[in-house]
Amino acid sequence: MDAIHSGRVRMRPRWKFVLSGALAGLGAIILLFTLLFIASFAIFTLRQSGALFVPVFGMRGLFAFFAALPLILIVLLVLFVVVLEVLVRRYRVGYRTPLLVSVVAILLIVVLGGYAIERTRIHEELSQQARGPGGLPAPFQMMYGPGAQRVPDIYHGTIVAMIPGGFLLADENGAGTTTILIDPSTRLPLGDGFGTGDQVVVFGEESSGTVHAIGVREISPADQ
Amino acid sequence: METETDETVAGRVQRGDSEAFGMLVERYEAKLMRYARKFLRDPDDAKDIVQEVFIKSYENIQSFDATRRFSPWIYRIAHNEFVNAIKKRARGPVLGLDFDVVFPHLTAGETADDTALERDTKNILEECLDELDPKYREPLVLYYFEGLSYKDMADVLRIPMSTVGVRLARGKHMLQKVAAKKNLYE
Repeated sequence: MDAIHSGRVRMRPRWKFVLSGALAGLGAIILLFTLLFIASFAIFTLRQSGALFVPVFGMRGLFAFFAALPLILIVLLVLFVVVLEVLVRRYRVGYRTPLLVSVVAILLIVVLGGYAIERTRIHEELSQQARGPGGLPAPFQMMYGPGAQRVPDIYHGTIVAMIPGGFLLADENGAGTTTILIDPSTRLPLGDGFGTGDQVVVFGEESSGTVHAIGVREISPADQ
Repeated sequence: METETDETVAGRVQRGDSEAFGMLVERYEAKLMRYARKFLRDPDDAKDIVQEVFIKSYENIQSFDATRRFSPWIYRIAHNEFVNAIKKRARGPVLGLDFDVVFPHLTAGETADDTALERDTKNILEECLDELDPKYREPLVLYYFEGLSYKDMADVLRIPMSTVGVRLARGKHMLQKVAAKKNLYE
């Protein structure tokens, strides 16, 4: 009490705690929105490149899907989830919940929220702007510009002509026109009812300008 | 005359009545000294730390939410000071991540030990405290000596309530082993 009476010990003003709480809360909100954006962009990248659809082509398709995962985005996601978890632990709802449960809850919110945002087509519009005359500011041009979502061995495009044994594919991601050949071993999970004008995803290795398709899947309007 | 609650007194301190803080010091000094002595055997060290706890609680009184209970709040400050004191004395590195708080636990809810069992546990605890890991010592001290509920302990230690139950159970099990080694059971 002597220290208090002499003024050696003083109360910190309330506004400091209010400001600290508000900044932490704001930081958590900004972080959450950043996470949602990153997650939605990762899903867009997978959809745009066609990688989202290749797991149906068996184990090779599954490996190609994992190889196509945008690693930098995933590392950023994990990092930001950790920081968000640290911020949330300041509050009762955070520390009263087992760590695994709160991390899973954050990941679920981020993945589901990211999927919902990706379905709003905001990334689709930014991608079209990036291919337009004006383009986008530098970092976004890199993210959305032509070829940005190109993944090896996965071809996402529109059939421009049917040919004997296959078709010609105009690539969505700016890689020009590719000859796709189908044989009896080609997996067709939704059947072979595709034709000129249809959007498809082709999985296969390119050799001398021709792709021998391991799998072909038609992309419906609902998938886009 | 009805005694003011700790929360009401803390509210007065927040509004500028620094003399009211003296009431809180009076109410908590003995409790916090008893709590401190369970971690720091040297009475002078314990006194210094308790003094530091009161200084920090006065400095940060405006961060106290008067709609919540005061006791877990000041015990939380005390816990932080003891942890810092133990870290300074620790010979090895102190683990950052505690796996007890990672996974949810299915434990029985809080039940009161019967009086005789509680008395026996307290006596044995006094004898065996030094040999227990601080991670398990603290919940036992808070429960048996300070009389805190699981809910309050969760707020003091900033862990899930289920983890409080797990640590108490493990602490009691360790206590039994230490007591058996020391032949404390009749």
